[in-house]
Amino acid sequence: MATETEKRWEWESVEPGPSGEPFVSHVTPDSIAAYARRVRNFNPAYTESGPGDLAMPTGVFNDAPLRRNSVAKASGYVALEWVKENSRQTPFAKCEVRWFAPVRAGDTITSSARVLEKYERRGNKFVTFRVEALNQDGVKVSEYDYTCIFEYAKGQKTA
Amino acid sequence: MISANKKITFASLKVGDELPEFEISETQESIDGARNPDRAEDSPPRNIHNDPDFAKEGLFAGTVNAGVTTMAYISQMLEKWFPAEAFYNGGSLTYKGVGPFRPGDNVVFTGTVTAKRTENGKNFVDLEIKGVDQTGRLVGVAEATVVPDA
Repeated sequence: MATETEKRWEWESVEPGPSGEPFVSHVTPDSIAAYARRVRNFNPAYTESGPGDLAMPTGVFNDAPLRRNSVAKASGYVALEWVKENSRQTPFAKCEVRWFAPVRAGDTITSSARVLEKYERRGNKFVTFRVEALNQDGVKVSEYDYTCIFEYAKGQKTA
Repeated sequence: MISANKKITFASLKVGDELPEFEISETQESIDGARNPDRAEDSPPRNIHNDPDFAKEGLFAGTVNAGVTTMAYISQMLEKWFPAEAFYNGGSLTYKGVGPFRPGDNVVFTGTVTAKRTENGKNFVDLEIKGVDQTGRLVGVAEATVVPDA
């Protein structure tokens, strides 16, 4: 049960709406190399990155992270992963990322996330977030739609 | 099969071409290592990736990797044949998790060119990818679009 000041962001309460607070990330040769190592891509183009070098495309997940509790807060709720009691995961279901312009060392990426839609399929309840990433010139470099399972059909465990 | 020794261009690709396999395994250490230590404040206190006690009560009955990490593996697979620029100029990647990618799993990703098309003067190549673990279980499927001559 949520505490008196905690409103759980259950699927029924989720609505497409306000964005979470913007997140700013400075892309550097070190951040490009660190991300590549974390996902075990040892391509020297990344691990020995220099000024102006391209970031790994999926680095958008690091430079423009989905901070779902920030989105929940914007609507006055606490994400299920963050509630103090009976916290629950909302696991990954699918994700589509689209790239529009390069990301290079030296760029500053500002991103924001919002709820795009929610839907129910075969008793499972899903929420799709959209995260948009803009560079220092205001150019949208990429966006992704990240769908997670908020609630499983009866008979399945929660996570 | 696409050759590693040849420059990949839109013209050189054919529908039905198979990408070379990409194989990768997970351990709890590699899953823990995928976390960004500088973003700890953005990670839930308990999660199914790094907290085995919490994860064993969940749907997967144990820890799993993050779906976006699997997407990074698929990107790595594709980047052996297409440069990063091929993604950034209008590319896309969609991944659907079918089953968990757990510590101890060894997943082989395979891919096929499914279409070539030109729109507004830009050449696109569409691919389908799937990942299968050591038992033959399907872990996930992906669709990618790249712009090889970008």
